[in-house]
Amino acid sequence: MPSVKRSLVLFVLVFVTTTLLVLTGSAVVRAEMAPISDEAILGRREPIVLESLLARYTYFAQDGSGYQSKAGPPGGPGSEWLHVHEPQVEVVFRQGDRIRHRLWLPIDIVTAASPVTKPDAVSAASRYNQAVALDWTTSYRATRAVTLSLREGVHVERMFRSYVLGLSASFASENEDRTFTVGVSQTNDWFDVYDVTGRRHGHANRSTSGVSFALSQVLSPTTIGELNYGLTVQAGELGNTWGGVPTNTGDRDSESYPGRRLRHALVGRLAQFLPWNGAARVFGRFYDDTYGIVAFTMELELLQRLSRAIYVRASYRAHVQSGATFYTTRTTPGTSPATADSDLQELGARTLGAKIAFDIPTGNTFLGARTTHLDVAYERYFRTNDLHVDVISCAVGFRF
Amino acid sequence: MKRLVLCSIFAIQLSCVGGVGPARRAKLADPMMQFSEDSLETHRKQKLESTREGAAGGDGAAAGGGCACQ
Amino acid sequence: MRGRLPLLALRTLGALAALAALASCGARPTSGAACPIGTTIPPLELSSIDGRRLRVRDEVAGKPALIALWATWCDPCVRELDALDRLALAAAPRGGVVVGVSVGEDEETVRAFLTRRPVAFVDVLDPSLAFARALDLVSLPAVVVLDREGRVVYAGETLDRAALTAFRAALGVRE
Repeated sequence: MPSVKRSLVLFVLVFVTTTLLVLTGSAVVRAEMAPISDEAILGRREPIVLESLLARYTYFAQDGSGYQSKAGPPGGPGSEWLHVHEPQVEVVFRQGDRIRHRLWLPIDIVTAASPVTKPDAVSAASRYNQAVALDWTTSYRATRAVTLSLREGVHVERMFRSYVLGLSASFASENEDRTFTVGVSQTNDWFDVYDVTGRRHGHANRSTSGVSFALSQVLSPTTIGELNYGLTVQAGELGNTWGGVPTNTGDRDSESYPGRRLRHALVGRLAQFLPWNGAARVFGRFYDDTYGIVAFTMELELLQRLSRAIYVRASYRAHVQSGATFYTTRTTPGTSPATADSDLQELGARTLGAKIAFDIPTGNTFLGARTTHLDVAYERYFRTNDLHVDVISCAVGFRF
Repeated sequence: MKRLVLCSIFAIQLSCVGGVGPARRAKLADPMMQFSEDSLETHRKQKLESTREGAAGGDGAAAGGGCACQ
Repeated sequence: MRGRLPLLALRTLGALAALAALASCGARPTSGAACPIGTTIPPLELSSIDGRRLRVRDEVAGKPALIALWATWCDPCVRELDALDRLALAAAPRGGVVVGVSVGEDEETVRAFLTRRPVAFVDVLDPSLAFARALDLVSLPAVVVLDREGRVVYAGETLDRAALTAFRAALGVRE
């Protein structure tokens, strides 16, 4: 009997132990069985996902002279000394799988020589001019091949407002080697009219309508090319209204422009990866417009990767253009159109530049960013008609 | 003109070797191979040119010339 | 200068015409379409990132599998790695397997990347795209789900809800 009792006790013990072991075991197994639900694997579906954040600061220091500037003697060229501080911020975020937004905020703080002189047509109170813009582009990936984009922008200065609306559609080939993009845009400017003596004459409008076609093509695993044609029609007041033209009587008259301008630009780009972990980029552009300006621009950039995270760039750009048919530095008073804007003169321009960029993998350890970007660039721009600009730019960015 | 024809023939021959496809774009994905490394840099370059050259713009970029915006 | 410009213009147009010719002929279509449902994966021998020679077909034999094609330079692919890790850990005790296929890149590049960012699944190298092409997959990222018999039951672009649903069905588990 005692043996029966002992067996019973033993049975109970074994049963309890086994049950406990099974329960514990299954709990262990359950613990190892990580959930396989959509949320457990893909994470919680966030309505907005930050993709990248980039901030850039650029400083432009310009010096030279031009006949449009009033910072000089009547009949002679005036100073075009100018400094610009330009911070910019760009935020890119995704909304769901198909929608992507880009928000861009540039701010310009301009210090110029011309407005300081009297009559102070541009700036009644200050030699400084601030401008701020907000630009929002939304892209919708309708299918794997088709992407539609909508761009809205507003630009505000003390005496200037500008609104832009753009639409574009991109079509990719089945293997995504070729992309064709067509875009239209409409910009409306609204600004105060000041004459050359600084007197205000209400407001003026300017309309800029553009259509562009771009074809990009992957040519080989190391080569990509792009062709772009753009047609722009401008109408309304096309000058700044307060610019001066020296007259043959030794005085200064107001500039005046045609009421319409048609512009054609054809651009070709080619990028080639080089065997020594470098790249070459070539840019060519032909331009023609109804002001009588014909221009040609060529740019060559050579890039070299120094390590996985660092590359450097050297660039050279050359630009030649003929002058507008109504460019003059000695006009007869009352002649229209007439301009002394040195931008519209026959000129040549060269730009030399260098840049170093860092793309540092931070593996989500720094502000949750996968990559942190830093770059510093310097450029010197010089024009044959007495103008040069030094440009310093630096950026910090995060890719999430 | 002769050079142009030769160039075109060479280009066509080059291009007809077959498609590349997205899986062979390791080199093309390098930031060095982007025509514009970032859009803020593109803007600063366009700004420099469009306010100093009457022939800038017209190709989707800001139109310049005849305007004293800096 | 005006006299020189037409010549320059002609040269530019010539160069651009050449580029246009290039662009017009460039892409003989290589299919970007996903591989057909019901096909089996090729018996190709590839190198794994840990130095083994293996056949993906043997690696997944008798197990439901999810194969993810990716590359270190492909942003959407890299963004998926966390989810693939979680899926590999969740699938293993349920008898399933996740295999990564590094497409179009050499061993050194992939190894350097995986040293910085290790993954929880087996990764094999397909530098010549032989495996990807055999499955008619040339887009990245790409995801294929296989049943226990090694047949393709789902093919898509990314590891999304549809891919997960197909993989769960192959595993015989419900959410």
